Amino acid sequence: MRFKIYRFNPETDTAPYTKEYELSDIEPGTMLRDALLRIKNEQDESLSFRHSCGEGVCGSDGMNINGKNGLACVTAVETLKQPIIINPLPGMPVIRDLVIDMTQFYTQYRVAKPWLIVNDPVPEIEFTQTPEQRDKLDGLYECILCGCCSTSCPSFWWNPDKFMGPAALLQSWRFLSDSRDQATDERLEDLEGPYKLFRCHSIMNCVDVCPKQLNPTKAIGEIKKLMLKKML
Amino acid sequence: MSYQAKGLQAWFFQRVTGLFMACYTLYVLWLVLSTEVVSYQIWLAWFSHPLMNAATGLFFIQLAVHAWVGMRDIVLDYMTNDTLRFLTLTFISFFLIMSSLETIRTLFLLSVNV
Repeated sequence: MRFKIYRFNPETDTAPYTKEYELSDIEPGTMLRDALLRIKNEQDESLSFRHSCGEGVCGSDGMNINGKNGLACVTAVETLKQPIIINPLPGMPVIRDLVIDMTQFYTQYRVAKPWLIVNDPVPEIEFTQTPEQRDKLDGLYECILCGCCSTSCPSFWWNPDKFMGPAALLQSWRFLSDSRDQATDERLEDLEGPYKLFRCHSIMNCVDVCPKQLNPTKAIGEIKKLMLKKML
Repeated sequence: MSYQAKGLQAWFFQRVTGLFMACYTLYVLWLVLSTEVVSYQIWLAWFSHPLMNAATGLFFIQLAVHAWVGMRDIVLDYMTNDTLRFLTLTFISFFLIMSSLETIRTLFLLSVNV
């Protein structure tokens, strides 16, 4: 099985290049992360990439696999066309090989204020929600912040400092639709203007690549709908 | 709409104008297809009718608003240089305003002459 992997070490290389690797005796059901680990252990220990849980929960090993962003740990190699071309997530500064600088992504995540804002006195025991209120958070809270969606979004490529990106906007809607949150108006006010939310042109790359099958485009549409309701 | 044109307003205007223009286009298409021969006289009769004349005027104003939002989106996405951005947006708005004024003038003359 052949691999073409993006390599760049800023300490020794002047420009990025692609390096080819070959693996044999691939067991059925091998995930891309396992294959990369084998390459690293058996052939080239200088190959760098992030990974941790190995089962699509931590969101560390987001990368561009054959042109599409995804998590290496939940992508079976036998489903991929050869040679398997692996690049870092696009549009972000490369630290080394497949390791990217996620600062911009996290900065935008912070803009969404991903925490409950409650003005009333906090209840003594716990916040209560009806099952229906809780259901509204399904499809939103599961995000693992792997960055696959935002780094596949052309709007995020063009304006990563101003447009929040699908991941952060999904979180905006997660807290806007939370029955316990009391800052709906402030949150909507924050999102106004031509950039933060409205750079989204419903390209839907985010929906296409999300390894957790979430739908940021729908969430963004819900935010627009809520804004419109408040305006009218 | 100002250069700042708030996000929600611009987005909302684009959808509303799009809807109106779609209805208008379908109506004109139906008008043309259901008429055997579209001569200049028939065309003149259509567009000098007060309702059609007003609807056409509205169509071109909405077209300008719709185009403004779309062009502004493209400029905000792809142009990073502030001076270039300002000049392009100024040129686009000038072009849209002038062409809208000219269209309205034509439509007005059409309604007065008949």
